[in-house]
Amino acid sequence: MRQYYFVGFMIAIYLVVYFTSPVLFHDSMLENYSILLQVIPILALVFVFIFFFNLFLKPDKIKKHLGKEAGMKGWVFSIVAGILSSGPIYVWYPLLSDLREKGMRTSFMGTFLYNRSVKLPLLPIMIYYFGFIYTLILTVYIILTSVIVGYLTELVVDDESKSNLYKRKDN
Amino acid sequence: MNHIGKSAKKTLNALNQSLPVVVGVIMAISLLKTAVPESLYSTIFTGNILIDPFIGSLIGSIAAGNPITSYIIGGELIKQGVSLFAVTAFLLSWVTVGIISLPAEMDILGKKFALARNIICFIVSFLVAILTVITLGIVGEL
Repeated sequence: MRQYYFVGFMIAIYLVVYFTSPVLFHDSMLENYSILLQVIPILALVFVFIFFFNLFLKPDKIKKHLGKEAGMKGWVFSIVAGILSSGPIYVWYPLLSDLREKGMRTSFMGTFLYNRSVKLPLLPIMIYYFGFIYTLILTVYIILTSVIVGYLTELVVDDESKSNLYKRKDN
Repeated sequence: MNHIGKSAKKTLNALNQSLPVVVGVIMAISLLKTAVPESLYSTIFTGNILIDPFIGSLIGSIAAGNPITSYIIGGELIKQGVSLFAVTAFLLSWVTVGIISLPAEMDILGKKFALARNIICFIVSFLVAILTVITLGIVGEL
């Protein structure tokens, strides 16, 4: 039930906006439509992934490739998957949640999410605005620091996140 | 067949858990994008080389939308004399920190994970901005 709190809160705000600023409400609704058109295909893909992961990937496989014992392979996989994944960041939360339940390491989740800032299709636009050298240096730093971000996130979170997950399941 | 049914049930459960939160985030982003004009960003910077990167990280964390928008705004900010430190911090936090999507992240991935990740990314965006500009200076590109 708590998953509906935030959307309920936003609907309440939209109702206020509808009565106080109809133009803003109208423009926001158009923006909603535009974002939804972009998000729906990726979201559908994410849930297809979740379905097939549940069907074919057993927790021991996830633990082996993305768990504590994955080692360097896990880091490389998180970096590459983060760079290649497209769409808004929040679309990928359900899949990560599902993979974590199966044993994915917290640091790999952090690294995956951080590497989503490397946008391969947008690199030419970044080069146009900021130059090739700047884009190259920034991209290399993003990839390198993604490991630090993942590691630090795990250091802060680790055991706590698992206990929260179990608490939520109990609810 | 039983496996397919179980997987479908788990997927529907994930859909039920995540979809309302994602829709809430989309509603928040749409309202923010519509209510805050892009021209407003440049008026917030002070010209101070130490404060501006912090402001850049802060605005980037709150702002939402396609990264192309951040490149365009970043390009304009540089033209208006905002430091490259500030613009780099802005670009980085735009894509790595998500205050608007924080409720969704907390709900789906856990409060502690979401808060820790976003705070770490905020600090790192600052540090990477400094490293990037220093490196640019070293290679003679400034």
